[in-house]
Amino acid sequence: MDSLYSGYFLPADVVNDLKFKTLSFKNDRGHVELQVPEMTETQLSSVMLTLKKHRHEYLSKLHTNDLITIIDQAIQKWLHPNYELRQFAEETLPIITGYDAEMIRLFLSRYLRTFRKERLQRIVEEDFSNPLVLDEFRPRRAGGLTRAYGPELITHIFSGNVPGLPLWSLVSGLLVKSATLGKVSSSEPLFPVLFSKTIAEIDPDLAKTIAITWWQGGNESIEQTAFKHSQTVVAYGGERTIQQISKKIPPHVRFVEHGHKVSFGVITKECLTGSLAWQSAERAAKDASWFDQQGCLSPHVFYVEKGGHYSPRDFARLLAQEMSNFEHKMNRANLTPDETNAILKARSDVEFKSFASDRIELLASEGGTSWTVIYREDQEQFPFSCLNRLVTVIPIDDLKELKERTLSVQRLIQTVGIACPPQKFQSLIHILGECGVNRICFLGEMPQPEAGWHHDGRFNLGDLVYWCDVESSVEALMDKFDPYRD
Amino acid sequence: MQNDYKNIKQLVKNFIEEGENLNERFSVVAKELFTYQYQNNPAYRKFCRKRRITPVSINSFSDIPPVPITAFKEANLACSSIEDAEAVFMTSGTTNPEKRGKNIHKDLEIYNLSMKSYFKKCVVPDVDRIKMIILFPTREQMPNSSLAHYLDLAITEFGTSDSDYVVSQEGLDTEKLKSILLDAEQINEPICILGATFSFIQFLDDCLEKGMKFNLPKGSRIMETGGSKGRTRSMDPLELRKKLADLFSIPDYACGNMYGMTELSSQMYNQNFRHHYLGEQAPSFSKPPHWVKTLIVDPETMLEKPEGERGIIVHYDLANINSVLAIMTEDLGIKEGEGFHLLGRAEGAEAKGCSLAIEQFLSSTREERS
Repeated sequence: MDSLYSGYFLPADVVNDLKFKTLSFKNDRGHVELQVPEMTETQLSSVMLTLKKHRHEYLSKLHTNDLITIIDQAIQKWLHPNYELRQFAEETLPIITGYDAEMIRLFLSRYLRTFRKERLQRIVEEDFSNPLVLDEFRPRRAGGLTRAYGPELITHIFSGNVPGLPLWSLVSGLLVKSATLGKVSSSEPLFPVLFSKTIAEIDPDLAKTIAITWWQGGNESIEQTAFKHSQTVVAYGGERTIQQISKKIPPHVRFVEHGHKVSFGVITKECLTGSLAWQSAERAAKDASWFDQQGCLSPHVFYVEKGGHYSPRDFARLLAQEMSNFEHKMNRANLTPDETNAILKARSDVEFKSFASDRIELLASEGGTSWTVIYREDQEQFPFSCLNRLVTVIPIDDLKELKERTLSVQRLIQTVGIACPPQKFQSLIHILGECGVNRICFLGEMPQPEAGWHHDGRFNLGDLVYWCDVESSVEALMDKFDPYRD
Repeated sequence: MQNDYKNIKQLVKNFIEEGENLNERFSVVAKELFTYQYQNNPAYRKFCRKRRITPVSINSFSDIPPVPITAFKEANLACSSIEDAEAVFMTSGTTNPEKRGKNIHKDLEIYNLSMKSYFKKCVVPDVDRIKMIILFPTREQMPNSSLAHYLDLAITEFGTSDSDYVVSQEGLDTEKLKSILLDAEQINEPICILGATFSFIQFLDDCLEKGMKFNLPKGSRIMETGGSKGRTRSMDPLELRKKLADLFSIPDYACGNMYGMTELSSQMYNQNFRHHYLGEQAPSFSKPPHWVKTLIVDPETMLEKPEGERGIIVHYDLANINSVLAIMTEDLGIKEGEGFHLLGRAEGAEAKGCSLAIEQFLSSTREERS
């Protein structure tokens, strides 16, 4: 495959006057070139005005249920293996991101299923006890009426390399009836564009409220223009990116940030018995290998309780075996010399320490860096991974230690994957809740959050809307001001 | 064992002194040295055994497994104990002061021979001695710095008696340096200024601010010895070289650049001055001496990269007799002919996705603190 495709979704009338830049992606699977626009501020302003106009004329009048139906239709199309855009995504995304093709195919199916009609309804109901508030003023139990309005326009700054992730943000914006300006990342600019095309196939008028484009992150004047014309900015990215963006957001614009996060796993001793130990290791390997650990849901470390039939060190060895099995099924992406160097450095550090101490052990793939398991009895600091399938196993005496051990990353913990029996469930989730964890799932399920989860511990749609309350005084007193009163 | 050390030292010494064009013999000596290090350096032996490599399995020097430099922080990678060492050179430890890499030298005979032989060729091929100005602390002030030792050796072997240091523990003495430069102009005697890159940048900034320029006598030269990380603003090396040539009014070829590291016992230089002296067209790369082989490898497979492709720099330095001769750096480079271009340091992995990488975590907490 060797072709030039469009990496944007913009109103037809602006496209003719645009200048373009080509982003090239190349690996052993092929070569893809994507054309992305280099817009001027004037062009961007005019696009944003058009989006708002169509939102006013069309999207704002749709009911949330109509939107759910449209999105569901788009998802149904994508879930069909023969759907043209899906096939295109399956061919190109492995080249763009470097991830294993099978992993992308599986992920797309699982991920897209979480946006089916009933899931979307659940997402809405999670945040609004009466979803009709998104369509009209509804009575409040406490008296009066209330209605929730989505922002007129949301600018989404999508992050890179977990393909499909922008869909979450995109769908949330649509559900609250906001126009969408999406800024794609240079490392994965394609998926949001393709999905918008699907929307256009189903409802061209709705598609007119969506624009997906690219600019160099940090471009002062373009970002100022984008943010100035938005009511809300949603951004995904690293600490520095988030900080830089937040400085440019005007005071009247709401900023919803999703910074980088860390995740980890916990395995209780009961799960290290017989075949359960092997199953735990298999699930742990899946969590640590999926998307080469690039997701905020990917574990950096597994804390393993001592005292089980198998020791934490045995678990590390089982895990190493399973990491190797996973690598056979789904290869890790090729890395840059910098990324490889980071793994080699971490490995070398452990290896030479292990020559002098048996409290640390290196288990690693041979003839390459495809996976690494570090067993470490002493935790000096939170054992961050340099990612790309390098994970640490740390034995603990008591689950209560978790709080102390994760203190330094408390405000940054996203997901904890746990393997525990029913008897320990309550005590473990209480400990984790106090650690500041946002999401707890069973081990092996870490990369697949359920619909309606509180992303980064916050409301999804609830964080986007503005409420308009009509107090009961209006209802009570307006009758007195009725010219036709009795 | 003492006898072994003597023998191996003699072997390396002969190789260094016998001159160039000894490519086939390089592997022979490397294998001998590897055998010695395998037998006497326990940490390295464990490293090799894990990779199922013994002296028997070595055919060419490139079969010798290179040790990542970070290992110098974790282990005493040496064939003799630290107590017996004439010198222990340590890395500056800018990232973690408690973890400094150590290169343990039983004695400095080979180190000094290596330094002198190649320094003569690359820096002072045209003169026996030259007045040297050192922008770096003395050996007494920094007894564990290989660079301080290197510069001390430069002065002792190739400097005139009025050579001088212009850096103390308080920092660079810019006023003293200016007055020395003005004196040199006055008496029209060439000088050689050597020092860490960050000191050159500091001096350059100071002079630019005050609008000062110098007109150094013919034959003057400078030698940057690298190092600017975390000290001052960084600057593109070519731009810096141009600005320094302009500041001192010296030709481009008189701006030398040394590449060395604590974990090695040899240095590499850009070839401009030497080739100008020989009347040849100078290549633009850095070149190691004949007792060092530098390869650019793919760190994933450890196979050599074809010319022109980026990879990690690996050195096989026969002068590193008491530690390990094969070193894997954290520097990125491109091979060209007999030399290589340094592209800078492989900065850990900037995360592609949304998982927090350690570098970002540390940098954000650092920013918060400051």
